[in-house]
Amino acid sequence: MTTVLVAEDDVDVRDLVVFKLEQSGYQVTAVENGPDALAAARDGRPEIAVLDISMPGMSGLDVCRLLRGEAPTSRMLILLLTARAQESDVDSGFVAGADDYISKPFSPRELITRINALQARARR
Amino acid sequence: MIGVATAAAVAMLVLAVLLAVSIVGFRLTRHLLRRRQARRAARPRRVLLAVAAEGGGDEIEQLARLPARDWHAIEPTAFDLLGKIRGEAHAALAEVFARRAVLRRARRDLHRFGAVRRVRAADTLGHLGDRPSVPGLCVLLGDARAEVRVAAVQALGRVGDPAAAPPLLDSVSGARPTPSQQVAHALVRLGRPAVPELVAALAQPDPLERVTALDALGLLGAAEAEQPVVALLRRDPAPAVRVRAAATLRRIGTEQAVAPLLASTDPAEPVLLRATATRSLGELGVRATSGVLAELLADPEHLVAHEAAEALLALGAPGREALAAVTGHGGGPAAAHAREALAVAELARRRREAVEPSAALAGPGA
Repeated sequence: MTTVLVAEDDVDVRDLVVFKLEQSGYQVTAVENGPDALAAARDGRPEIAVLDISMPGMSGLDVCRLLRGEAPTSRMLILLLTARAQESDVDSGFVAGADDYISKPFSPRELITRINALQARARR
Repeated sequence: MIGVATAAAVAMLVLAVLLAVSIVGFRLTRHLLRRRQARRAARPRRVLLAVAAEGGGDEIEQLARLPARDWHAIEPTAFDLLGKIRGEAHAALAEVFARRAVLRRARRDLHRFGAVRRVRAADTLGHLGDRPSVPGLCVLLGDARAEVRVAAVQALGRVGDPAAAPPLLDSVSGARPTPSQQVAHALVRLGRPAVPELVAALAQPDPLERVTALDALGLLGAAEAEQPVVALLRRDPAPAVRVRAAATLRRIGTEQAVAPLLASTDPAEPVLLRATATRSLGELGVRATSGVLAELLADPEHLVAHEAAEALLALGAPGREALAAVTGHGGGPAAAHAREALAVAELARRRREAVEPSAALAGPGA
């Protein structure tokens, strides 16, 4: 079963993303801030990380940069979840090494489609 | 005398104890109520998540038939989720609100006497994306209460009907104005279908309407509006509009915007316009402007010279080379501006390097 780390400080969004991922057959670990996300990614080595950009402690962008900079997590698939659909945030996300992003308000169905597409691309 | 003092002290003590007991009692009651509410919300929460995640028909039915007490426990979460999801999930959740008569109640409450009711109604209708409520929400743009006007602006942005663009733009001026920035944000949420209305608003007599339309066009990245924006930059009678036009061009401008922006840096123009145009020249990224920007580093106006240095940084490698060349020309103000810009950029690079090791490999040009 594919493992996914979800890092999101908004409890409603976190629960919704976890619910949708579990329903789609993923094994999910959820955390609510940047430092916990970093620790969970280092310890659990999930295949996919869904990171909110704005989180307490450390932003999703910083978590993404750090994961990309460390050999064991450098190939993890990373999708950023952002409330700010500004071009600069999207640019920063890709510069930080994210594979894709999805902006809030988001469609849970689209989230799964994007994750599936990321996995398919990674397998090729 | 001692007896009176003792009685007063005892009375104060009793009052303090009573106050402490009532505070503890109030907090305990609140805590218990919240726990009960959370317990009551736990079961329908799972159903709510299923609706938000899947848009399922059975779950919609379950939420629609939920006992009132259980619905009240889950309604705030359902309402919050409405603003965080879109697509089929949003439509499914909106259907639940419609089935529970929340929509009908909100439409009715738009015309209630109490301002709190009107604000809540506008908020609800905005989150539900209720297009039939747009005319009613537009009426609230002129409400006597400022908080109702702001709620109407936000709701119209959420509903996203481009027909709301003209009333939104009208609302920024007059005796009961709405905040221009919030209106610009709402206009952006109307999306590209609102661009023709925004371009038309550039010809409105009220300068604040023109400024608001410029802000929204810039945020929407409406490149097709470049020519009318250039026309405002060249000829608008209001200096604030010209400044905003110069700032908008850094988002939507092409090489055709270079000449009018250069003309706006003329020493005869207002300082703020010159500084904004200078910065926009850098943001446009046209390398041929690096020579002019390097000359502006020596401008006697501090703001213009400072923006010239920032603009050169924004130009990338040719701009950095120009800055480096100026730093070799002694200790004048131009060299000082160039040194400051390069030092700030270097500091930013080192900060990035601290969290991103790969930045070190990218070098100072990154």
